[in-house]
Amino acid sequence: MNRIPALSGTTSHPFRSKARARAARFLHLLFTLTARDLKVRYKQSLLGVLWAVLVPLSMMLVFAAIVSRGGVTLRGDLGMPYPVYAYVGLTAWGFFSSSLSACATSLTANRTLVTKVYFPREAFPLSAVLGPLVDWSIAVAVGFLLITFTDPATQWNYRPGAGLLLLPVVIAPLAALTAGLGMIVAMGQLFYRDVKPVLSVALQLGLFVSGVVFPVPRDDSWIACLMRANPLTVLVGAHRTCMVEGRIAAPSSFVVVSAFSVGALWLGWLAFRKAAHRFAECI
Amino acid sequence: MDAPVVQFEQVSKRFRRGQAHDSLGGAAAWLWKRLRRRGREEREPTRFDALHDVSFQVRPGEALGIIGPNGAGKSTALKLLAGILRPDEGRVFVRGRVAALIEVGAGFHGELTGRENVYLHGAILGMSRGEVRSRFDAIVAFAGIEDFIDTPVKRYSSGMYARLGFSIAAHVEPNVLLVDEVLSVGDAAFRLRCMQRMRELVEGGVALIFVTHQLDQMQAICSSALVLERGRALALTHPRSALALYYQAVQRGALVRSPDVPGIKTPPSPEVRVNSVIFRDSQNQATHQIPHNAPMTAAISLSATRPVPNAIVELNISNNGRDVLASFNTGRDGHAVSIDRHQSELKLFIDSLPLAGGEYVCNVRIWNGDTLAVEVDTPFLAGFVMDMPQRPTGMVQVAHAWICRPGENGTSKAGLSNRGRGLPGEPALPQSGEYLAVEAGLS
Repeated sequence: MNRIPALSGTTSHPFRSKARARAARFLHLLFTLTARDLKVRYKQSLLGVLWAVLVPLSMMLVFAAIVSRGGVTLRGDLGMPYPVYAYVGLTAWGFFSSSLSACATSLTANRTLVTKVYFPREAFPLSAVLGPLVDWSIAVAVGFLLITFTDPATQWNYRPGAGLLLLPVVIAPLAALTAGLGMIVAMGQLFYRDVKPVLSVALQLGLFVSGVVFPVPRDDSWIACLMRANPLTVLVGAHRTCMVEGRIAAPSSFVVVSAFSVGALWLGWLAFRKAAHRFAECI
Repeated sequence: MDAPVVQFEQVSKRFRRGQAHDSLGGAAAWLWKRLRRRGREEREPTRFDALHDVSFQVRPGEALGIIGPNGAGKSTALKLLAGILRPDEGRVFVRGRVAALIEVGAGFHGELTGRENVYLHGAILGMSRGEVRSRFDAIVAFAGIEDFIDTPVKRYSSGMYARLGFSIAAHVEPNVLLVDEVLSVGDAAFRLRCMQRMRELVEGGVALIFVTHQLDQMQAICSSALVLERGRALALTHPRSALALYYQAVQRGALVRSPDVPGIKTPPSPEVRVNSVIFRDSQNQATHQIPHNAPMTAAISLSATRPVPNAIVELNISNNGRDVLASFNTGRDGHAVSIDRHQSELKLFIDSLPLAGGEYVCNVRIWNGDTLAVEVDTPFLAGFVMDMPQRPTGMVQVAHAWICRPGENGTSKAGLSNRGRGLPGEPALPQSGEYLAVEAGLS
């Protein structure tokens, strides 16, 4: 750790290179911690990497069964077969929800590291976002393959090539929003141990108001208003149209929500920074 | 002289005593209470000084030992230096790369192999992948676990775990190395190698800050010592002069722990009780501080609700609560002790206890001499401090003498130089005039 104390008069000329070295070291640490979590997760499971695909796939099957057999009428326009709609939405949602859950315990599960070793504490929630990002990319890759090699792809406007290029643009604001909220819940859980159960309830409800498996109803009911106001609806929707049709639906609201996400990341980080020195004594 | 790389300037750190609200429900209740009695003063939660107005500095190539009884604030000081904690008052400067070994293997993950953990822990300690790769063989060789490097560390013995943890930290090549009481693990050979490695690092210009209870380790490596007691600095001085202060602080600490009766207090056992063990010096004064090589008495006060007519009582003395250094047993000495309802006192006279200076703990064990069932086995508790102005290496001090015969031609009278090299296999009896004898009296 190259810790330059905030109060000391650090000489200014090597600052650039020092800052760069620190950033490089931080990134290395971040990737190492992420790799640790992924390795540990995949090492002791029978299906390993397949889990990244099985979770959205099985949930998609459940919702497809509900929609086709359960008499649920979708009050919105899909523009694509429902299984595709649900699977693609669930990959984005899976990234968001498993990142946040991992963030919530990222500090408390690494108690010895927090109390015994110093490094920038942001590494914990950020690596908790990077791990699910890897899962997400696997799920998306498999999604592309599944859609391309099944019949329905020919019946609607499916353009995976452009989608592939646009995906980073679409996942970036979602990751920023997730990381911002993640830092809040990580330190929330550190100070108040019931943040995690509250979060799990919120995530379960959130699935239904973020346009993941059910589209926004075309009316002015309160639920439709709630879904339209939810920034996640925009991000999940943009992610879906991007992956399937190679375009971003409602680009203006996407830009607004992206700016909002960056703001959330900034605010979350600011709060995290401010509280970080109390982590070791309060954990 | 180089500028200090570590500066601790009038640092104070307070911790909250008791528990803060740590659930949302608790926080809501607190907020509600606060809103209801708005305007009234909120009572400050009680706080205590973990460190109070402590200052020191360390230059490259210097080693500072921090000693003090438990709860003195040693680990808090290290955590402040490592950046884990932030001081409430004062300033902490650390220049350059810091490697903190506050807990061995703090960043290890049990499911990962030794190899993976070396890279992980290296990254946690601030090494790049290339740096770890170039030092990997040295790290593994130092830890001596070549054969197990691809085994998950959850299968490691605690010694292997500790060796690997120390080895990684020792190869970070930091500017400042913080070591907290980690060398109590591992075997003697490994401890020696750790000391050796720390000495090398210090000689190579690393500033070392070393927290330990092993005063001989501290003396062997540190050029100065800071004695802390309950958050306050008693002295920043030469390691040797620090020892007396340390023992005094330990003694005061022992008195604080049991204010009424100095010595052992046992949890109330239903039938046979050890009420107290009081140590007395040659003047028959109850004390915690026994001068080295002086007569002492241990008075064990016993009572029983069910009389034990034929009891065997044993007093054990230990330096760490695990290894018994001296044991005194009435059964072995051919005495039977009768314990009944009335409080009886059993006195043990010791002419001279040949233990090195330091803090000792003791326990009492009582058997029923007829059934050989254990009646009482107290935990090891504060016993006494053996006072010794200079603490040599080794746990036992044996009265001894050195003898050396001058060279064959008789010209050299200095067969035994001041450095004191003995001759092996020498006959034990000195003959006057022919030998130079150096008596090593026990101070």
